[in-house]
This record gives sequence, structure tokens and C-alpha cells, in this order.
Amino acid sequence: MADEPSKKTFPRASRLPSTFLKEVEKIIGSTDLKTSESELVAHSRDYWLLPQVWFAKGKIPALPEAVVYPENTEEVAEIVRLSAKHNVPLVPYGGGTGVVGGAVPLSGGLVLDLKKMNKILEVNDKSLLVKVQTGINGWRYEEALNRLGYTGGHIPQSLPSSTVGGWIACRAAGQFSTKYGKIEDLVVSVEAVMPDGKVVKSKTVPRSSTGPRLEQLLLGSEGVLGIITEATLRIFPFPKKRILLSFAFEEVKRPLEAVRKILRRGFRPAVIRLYDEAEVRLHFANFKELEGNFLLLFVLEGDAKLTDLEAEVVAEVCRKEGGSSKGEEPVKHWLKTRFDVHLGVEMIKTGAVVDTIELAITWDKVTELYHRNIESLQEVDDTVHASGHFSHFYQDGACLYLTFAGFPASPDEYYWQAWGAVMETTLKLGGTISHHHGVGLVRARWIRKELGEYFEILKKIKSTVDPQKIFNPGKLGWGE
Amino acid sequence: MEEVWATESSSPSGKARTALLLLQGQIPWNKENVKILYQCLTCWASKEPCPFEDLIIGDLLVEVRKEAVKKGVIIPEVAAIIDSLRKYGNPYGEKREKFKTPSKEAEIVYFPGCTAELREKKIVSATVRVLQKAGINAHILKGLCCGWPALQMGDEEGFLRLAEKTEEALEACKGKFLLVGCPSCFEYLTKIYPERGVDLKTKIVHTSAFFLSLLKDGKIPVKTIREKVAYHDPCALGRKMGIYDEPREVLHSLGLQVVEPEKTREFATCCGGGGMVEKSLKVAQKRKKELISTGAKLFVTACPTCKMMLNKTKLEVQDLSELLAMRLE
Repeated sequence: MADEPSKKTFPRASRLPSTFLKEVEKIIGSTDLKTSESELVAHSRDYWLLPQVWFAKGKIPALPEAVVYPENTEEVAEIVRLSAKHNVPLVPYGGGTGVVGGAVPLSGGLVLDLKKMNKILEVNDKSLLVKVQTGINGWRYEEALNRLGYTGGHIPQSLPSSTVGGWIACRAAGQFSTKYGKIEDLVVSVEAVMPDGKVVKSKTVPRSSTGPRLEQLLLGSEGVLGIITEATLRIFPFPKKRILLSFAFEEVKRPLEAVRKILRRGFRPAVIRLYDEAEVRLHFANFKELEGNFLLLFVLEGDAKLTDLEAEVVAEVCRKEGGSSKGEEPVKHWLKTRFDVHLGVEMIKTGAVVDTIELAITWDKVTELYHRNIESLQEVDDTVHASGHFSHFYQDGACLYLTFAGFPASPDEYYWQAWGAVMETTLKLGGTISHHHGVGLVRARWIRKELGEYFEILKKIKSTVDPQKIFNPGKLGWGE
Repeated sequence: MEEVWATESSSPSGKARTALLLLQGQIPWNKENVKILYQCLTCWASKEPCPFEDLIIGDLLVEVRKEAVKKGVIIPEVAAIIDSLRKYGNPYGEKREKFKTPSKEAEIVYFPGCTAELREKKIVSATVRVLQKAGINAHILKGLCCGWPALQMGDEEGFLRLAEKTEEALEACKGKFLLVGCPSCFEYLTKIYPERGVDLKTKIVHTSAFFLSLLKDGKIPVKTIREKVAYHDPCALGRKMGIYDEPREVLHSLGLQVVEPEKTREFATCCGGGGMVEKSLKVAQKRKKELISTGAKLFVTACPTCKMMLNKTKLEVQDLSELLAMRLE
């Protein structure tokens, strides 16, 4: 589904076998089986921006035939077995906050909404691990851990609405990830239901050298290989100290150098973000003294002694690279507004086509990735805004997060041209076309180029694991 | 709310989608779809975590409820409240006293609101005792509804009728000090009426702030008590009107140690009474658990509806006025 739907979707006839829902009801009970219009509509899309525009015009991207709310792995497994028997497509659904169309029920069928699977099953203080059902809401998860004296360390922008299962399924990264790691660093083991209804579990051990690990295959699988029902994740003692620092720079190269040097020395600030001039204007409009500058933010946290030392080094390196200290206030502003996405919606309301794209590349090409992509977006007709910030950093490179907007005559055409410009530019430079949003439907058309021969192998894995192709059809490019 | 209904359609975005498609005519205005609009307590609890700045889903849903009522698609529990408001001028289905114009001597007009007047009468008598102790000549303005329940249900016409009657009555109180005990009435009289261009030309104060000023001025001597108290923030008083400190300061003045539930102030869980919808009691039970887990011996709020809802869960909750009246010397 790349284009605007041509007609309205209601009313529609169910394509399910006549006895199917009765059998589902036997497994799950009538309360947890929903076929009302409001439930189907609620599961018709995620937060991919283009369908939001279609939706506003009354065009619904896709609809499931029914929605179920299982409460445990066994119920999921029974529904999967039944769906396999009847060849009914299944789409797992967490918070619906994905931005690439991963949860859109393209082929109808059944949506498995995992929200009722929201329990914290076990906390292991000695090993700093937590075992959860994956439908648990991110905000509730972090809140519960904080109450017990821990942090999960995974704070994506979608935290108030996304789920742990969603984080795993799209291979997510949180804002505090330079210190605590991305979801692949946090997940220790998973339990999942495979397309034949079998339940598989990986072992909860710190590491193992027993061939490829199951959780690594399921991380980022976007529901096409298995439905992740439980997971064990690493947790951390709640930080004893937090220090906020910010620095203004005249251009992009030197703050990037500062970050590279800080990481090279072995320091791991929890949050590092570098905004370009255009984004400083957008997101820090009240800080007049920052106008025309690049802004580098840090949140340092953890053990008090380590944090103090980290602050000393961060300040020293940033000063040496020509940064001028701007204190805590810009970081406080970021902390306050970090979950707010209203700007995009405000732009859509004015008729703009707007979206964000996140990419990653190694240090030697980071500045090139930034300049080339900004240029490529500006070259697309009707672009009125192209900006970027660097949102995640590593010893070996960084993630660039672009925002573009235009007022085109043909919205869909412009949208795909802008995406195409960035995808092609990034592929040419050898970067990855997604850092943490995933593939879903948006990146499916470029995924073969991204993966090369690896694409065919994944396709074969999909055919072997899910020969009927009932798990989240149409996603990831190879998930058909 | 997501823990009570635990469905995507009752999540803020789910409700917004149903509302949009109803307005677009994509899905029919039937009771099944309209019911979704009422799965919201209009408590503003989703305001803080909402990623869309300034979007208040409850306010948006009230606008769509108005359309449903205009079209005559009214679910039974809503119809019962609307009918009662139209017939009796209150949501409780019973006759009430007619309002009386205050005498010239009355310095203060006390507006208790429907719930205190008809369901939580002890709050009215407690407030009167406090005023008497302070030597204030107050007139109790009974028999009036601010219109809040009607507008929440989407009955705009019913709201206007109630609001106009109340405005007319308050016209006679012009220049007097208006003391309001119900946070929703307080919000409506101070915020919603002026938005409609109505200027009541009177100083309006919530009882919690007024009690505090009496205590500070030494007008009501009190016996202090050393105890732990958990304070429940009413949504209309806290999130909607920004009054968090005054009730707590009153409790401090009584010598009490105020302990906070995990969800407090801007993040406080609603008592469930905000929307008068199905499953309200489940929300109240959730709040009860949070309040109990503070380890407090006393539970206090500053809203007749919150008190009523939490008492339904068998948790003994007092209104601030009642506790204060008990501690008068």
C-alpha cells in the first residue's frame, strides 16, 4: 500500500470463514473478541504520517475483520493455530505508535492486540533483569521500575503509548541509549509464538555461544516471523545523579568531533543530541541566544562520582572544540518537550506533507550524510523545510534524524520523491536507511538494495517459518 | 482509562478516530459507535503524557457528543442524566429546593452545587459551621445547577437553560462574595461562563482557598491533630483550575502530615465521577488502592463528587470542609 486509497472502506463484508469467529470466541471468550466499527477503525493504521493525511480525508488505509485481546501466551498460540488452519492473516498490535505502517492490517484478518498482556512477571534484583508480558505500556513499565528503584533505560519518544513488544518488534532505540543501549542490548531472552502455533523460548543467560540466538532473529521482525509474548530485559539501578549540559557551535563538524572524542575516551553520556540551525529555530525558539547556532545537548546520569567525572570531560572536550556553554536551560526545555510531536500535526493541518527519516552511518561519513541529505531534500520540488539533528551516538558512528516538509500539488508524489532522495543518497554513501523506526511499508521498496544478498536469505527464512504467509503480510519488503 | 477498558477503541487516539469518522459520515451515528464517545471521564489525565501539545481529548469528545445529542443518538445512561437535568435541574432525578435571593445582610453567598446539596449534605452543614465560626453571615444558594453535567453529556441546549437560570440567580448576588464548594461548578462559573461572554461581576473563590485565608487570618481557631493524611486532587480543581497547594496548606494548618499517592497533582488519577459513565466505579477502585498504599489513616479531598465516588468503594473519604469543621475549637 503506497498510494492513497481510492474509495471509502465501509461498509464491508467479512472475508473470514463463517465459523472462524465462533471458534475464536471459544478460545478467548466473547469479551475479548471485538468486531465493532470503532475497534476496527482504531486498528486501521499506526502513526505513519501519510495515512494520517488520508484518514483526515475520510480514507481508511485498511481494516481488520476482527480484533482479539489475548491475556497470555497460550491464548495467542491457540489463536495462531486456528488462524493457520483457516489461512487467516494475523497482525500483532501494541500501542500503534509505529511510524512506518508496520501495524497496518493490509490483508484484513485478525489483529492480535496485546494490551491485556501487561504484567510484570518477575524482577531479579541480583542479576538486574525484569520479565514482562510484552503488551505492557512503556510508560507504565518505566514507572513500575522507577517505583522499585530501577530504570529500564529505554525511553523512546513514543514512551507514553508504545509497548515493550513494539520496541522489540521494530528494533527500537530510546533517547537515553548511548548509556543504556538500544533494545537489542537490553533484551536478554524472549518467548514467542511462531506461525505454526508452537511456543519458543530462548534462555535467560548473559551470553551464549550456541549458534544464532532466537531473540536476535525476532528483534526487528515486525511481526512477520513470530509474535513475541514475553521478554526478559536488562534493568539498571535508578541513577543517583543527573547533570545537564549544553553547548552552542557555529557549524556541524566540530560538535560531532567533540562527541566522537568523548565516546572514544570511553565515556557514555545517557543522552547526546545535536540540532542544526533550522531545528534550533523550530524546537528552541524561546532561546534567542541560540539562533544561528548548532546546539549540542547532554544528559549525564548514573553513579555520582562517575557522572561528575563525565561532566568534567564533556565540558573540557566541548570547549576545546569551540563550543560555548549554554547551561541547563536548553536541556530542561528538551526534557519537558521530548514526547511532544504536535509540530508535525500542526504542519499537516496547514496542508503540508511532512515526515521524518532516521539513518545511521560511520564517523568518517557522518558530516557527508548530513550535508548530502539536506541538499537532496532541498532539490526536491516544493520542499519548504529540510532539517536534521543527530539523535543517537556510538563509538563507531551516529544516527541522523531528518525532518522535511513541502506544500506540493501532488502530495503522494512529493512524499515518495522526498523519501526516494534520502534513501538513494544514503544507500550511495553506504549508510543504513533506518536507524530505529523500522521498515514497515514505507521502506519496503528500498529494502532489497539495503540488504543485498541478505534479502533473499531473509525471504527464505520467512517462507520456511511461515509458508502460508499469514503473519503480518506485506511488511518488511521480504515479509510477503 | 486504558487499564479500565483496556481496548484500543477507548484509548485517546481510538476515540479520536471514531469521533472523526462519525463527523465525516464514514460510520453511522448508532448507539454502539456513540458509546465510544462516552468512554472518557473528561478528567484531562491524558493531557500530561499526550504527545500532542494542547490537545485535550475530553474537550474534543464533548464537542462530538453535542452532535450525537442533536441527532438524537443518545445511549441509555446518558439519556437518564439528560432527562433528569431537564426535568429536575440536577442529575440525580429528584426535586430540589427553589433558590432564594440572598438578603442584603448576607456578606457571602455559598454555592454548594447539586452533589453537595442532594447527595453529600454533610459538606453543606460543615461549610456553614466553618462560616458561622468565622462570624460570617452567609446565604446558601440552593436549587441551582451550573450546567456542567449537561454539557459533559453533550446536551448543549440543556446546559444553556441551566446556565441562564444560574446566571439570572447570580445577577441578584452581584457584588457579593461567591463561595463555591464543587470544583466543577467553580470551573464553570469562573472559566466556562466567561468564555460564553457572561460576566458574573462577583468575586468567586473555592472553599479550599477561602478556608486557608480564614485560617491564616486567625478567624477560625482549630485543634491540631498529628496524623498522616492522603489528599486526593479533584481533576477540576487541580488539572483544570491549577489549585493544588491551598487544600494541602489547610491540612498542614491542622497539624496533619500530608502524604502523596504515587499519582498526584497533575498526574492524579480521577475518582471516576468526571464522566458519569459506565465503569466509573472501577476507576474509583483504582484510585482507592493508590490512596490506601500511602499508608495514611485519613483520606481527604475537596470535591463532593470525588468524596461520593470514593465512598462508594467503601473507603472513608472526607471533604476538606468536614475535617475542618470537626477540628474547630
